[in-house]
Amino acid sequence: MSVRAVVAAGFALLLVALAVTLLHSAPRSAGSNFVDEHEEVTKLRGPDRLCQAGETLPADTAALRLLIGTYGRPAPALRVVARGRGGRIVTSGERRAGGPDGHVDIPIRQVDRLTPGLRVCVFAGAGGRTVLYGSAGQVRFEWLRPGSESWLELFPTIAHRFGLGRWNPLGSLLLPAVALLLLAAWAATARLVLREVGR
Amino acid sequence: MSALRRIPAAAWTCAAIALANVVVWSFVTPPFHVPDETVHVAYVQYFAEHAEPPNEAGGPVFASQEAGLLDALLFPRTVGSTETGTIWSELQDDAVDGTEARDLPTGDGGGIVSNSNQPPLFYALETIAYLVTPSDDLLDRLVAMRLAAALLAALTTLFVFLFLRELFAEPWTWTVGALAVAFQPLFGFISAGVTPDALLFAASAALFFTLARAFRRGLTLGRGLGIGAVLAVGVLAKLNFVALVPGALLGLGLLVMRTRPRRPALPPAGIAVGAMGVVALGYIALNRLVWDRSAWGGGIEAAATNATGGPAGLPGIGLSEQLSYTWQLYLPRLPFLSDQFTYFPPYEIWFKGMIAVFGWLDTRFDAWVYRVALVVAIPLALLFVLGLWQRRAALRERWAEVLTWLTIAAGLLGSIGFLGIRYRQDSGFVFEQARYLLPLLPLYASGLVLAALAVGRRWGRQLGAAIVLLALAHGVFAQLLVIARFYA
Repeated sequence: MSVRAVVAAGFALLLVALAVTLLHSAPRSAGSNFVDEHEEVTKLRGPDRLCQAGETLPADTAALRLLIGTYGRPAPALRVVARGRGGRIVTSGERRAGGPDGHVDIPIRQVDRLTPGLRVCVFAGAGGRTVLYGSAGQVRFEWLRPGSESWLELFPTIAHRFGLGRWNPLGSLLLPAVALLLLAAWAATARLVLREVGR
Repeated sequence: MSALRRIPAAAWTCAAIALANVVVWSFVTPPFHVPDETVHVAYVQYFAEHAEPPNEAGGPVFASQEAGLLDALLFPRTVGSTETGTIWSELQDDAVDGTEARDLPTGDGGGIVSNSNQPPLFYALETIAYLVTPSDDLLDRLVAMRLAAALLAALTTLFVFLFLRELFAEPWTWTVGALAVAFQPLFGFISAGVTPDALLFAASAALFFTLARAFRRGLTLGRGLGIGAVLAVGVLAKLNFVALVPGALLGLGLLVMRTRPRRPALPPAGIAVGAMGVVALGYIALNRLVWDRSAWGGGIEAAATNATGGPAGLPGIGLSEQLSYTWQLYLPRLPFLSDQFTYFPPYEIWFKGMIAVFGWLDTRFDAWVYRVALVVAIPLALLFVLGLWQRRAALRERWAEVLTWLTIAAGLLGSIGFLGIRYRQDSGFVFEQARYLLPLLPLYASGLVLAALAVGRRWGRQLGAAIVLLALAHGVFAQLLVIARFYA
């Protein structure tokens, strides 16, 4: 086997591995309230609710993910309502009782635009105690995008986020530009290896 | 200039590839998410604004501009968290732009913090990048500073190539080793940030190269000056470099001892030591006379205080405990040693760290990835040992050089143990991070080359090419991991 064959096989394997990774589909995050799930924040007893003000709903949100604990019992029915100024309901949704505790996703009516300044309430249905997790007195709200997406499908979103909070004259094209630079480094590497190692 | 022209084109290409890869890392990693980058940027900013290191006891560590940006970037809420990315919305981006537009003060930092006792050479270099940026915005300047650090990574790769050229007769091995370093993810990630580690790695690689060259071609005045210059740069780059100095001095001594007659080798060795000494004295004079700091800026003094019994209120650490701790950092515990760790540091800290621990130690692969990496690494390690065995005659013949490398490595490993046990005692936290091993990148590269050579003439080049491809793949999946952590 020649060095050329090793390089060709290596890049082929790499492309296959990248394809498998980038085509993996799963629910993806739309954003969160930047609260970690370090500790128990509150315990809802039976039909009960928790409300947090000053929440922001990210764009393209279709579900709320919460970490709950139910002491081994099935998860209670959960409902979420997000209200804007004047109590106007921006979105809401619910999840039927059942299933294990841990991370649970509550589907909501999709919100396409970023919406700040909301009061978000989580209602737990009848049942025992339901622990909600977060830190520093705040429950973590993680908002999910609709459906399930591969990394490739998410690429435009990632490229948009990649361009924020930094010097960036290229906008959403920064990530593709960086990827091209890496590809150029790979091409130079292949050429150098063939020339220096393969002869 | 003629010396530069004699450097093979392949070496420059390896350096350019490293530069491109580290520039990719510098954009993949959000601002301030390289370990301690916040305080290193604060040091550069203060140095640029006041032409002296930060030294104001009780003062604010960050200038208002950096403090405002850290808040706008939600840095305190995203660092160390595996659950939150960086800012994702235009609203948050507008807040960052708004903070930059406020023209907050840039010179009101200067408080003493963990890195204030570091020497200023790296920060002075970064000050150039800071000042030439045609904008007062810190995020713009951060890009320039990170690119300057990336240039140092390219220099490190170049020196690794040149070191391998002195060590191995087979030219293809130089490219293999240098490219393995160019794509090493931890090296790329750390070098992409504003941290003096970038200059430390470059100085360390240059030290290995200049010593190897002197061992191979003799210690001349020029080579002595080169070693001295590297020692001087290293000492002024980061205090950790001091741990490499005993090995370098031993190497110089052995170079003199083996020269016949010895007298002509003395001036070059003297120049090497003298250059470092003069620079060190100059630094001490600056500290004492101009900057109103203690002789070594507080760094060496603090270490000495710890070594002689620990700071007031804390018990000293006995020699046997020190040795036990240091041994177990790198090797399995022996039955008669007291248990120092609840985990196995060679795997948990060094191996996993070299595979992938990014951000402020908050970004890791799933556990199975490290197990797969171990399956790949073990055969390479065995081949490395085989390569050493195959070359035992050459190793015996070049014992002085081998002893020098081992002493340099032992100095670094010992210093990590020395500092680690004290840090743990003082703070309760783990000190060790895999990046502290990166000054030994030239040995890492030569280990991989030895592994490739061990399979013999028929397959050596193929294995060398496979090692480069493996490093490249490792690098891109590490970058994807960081992208997933912060942007997805």
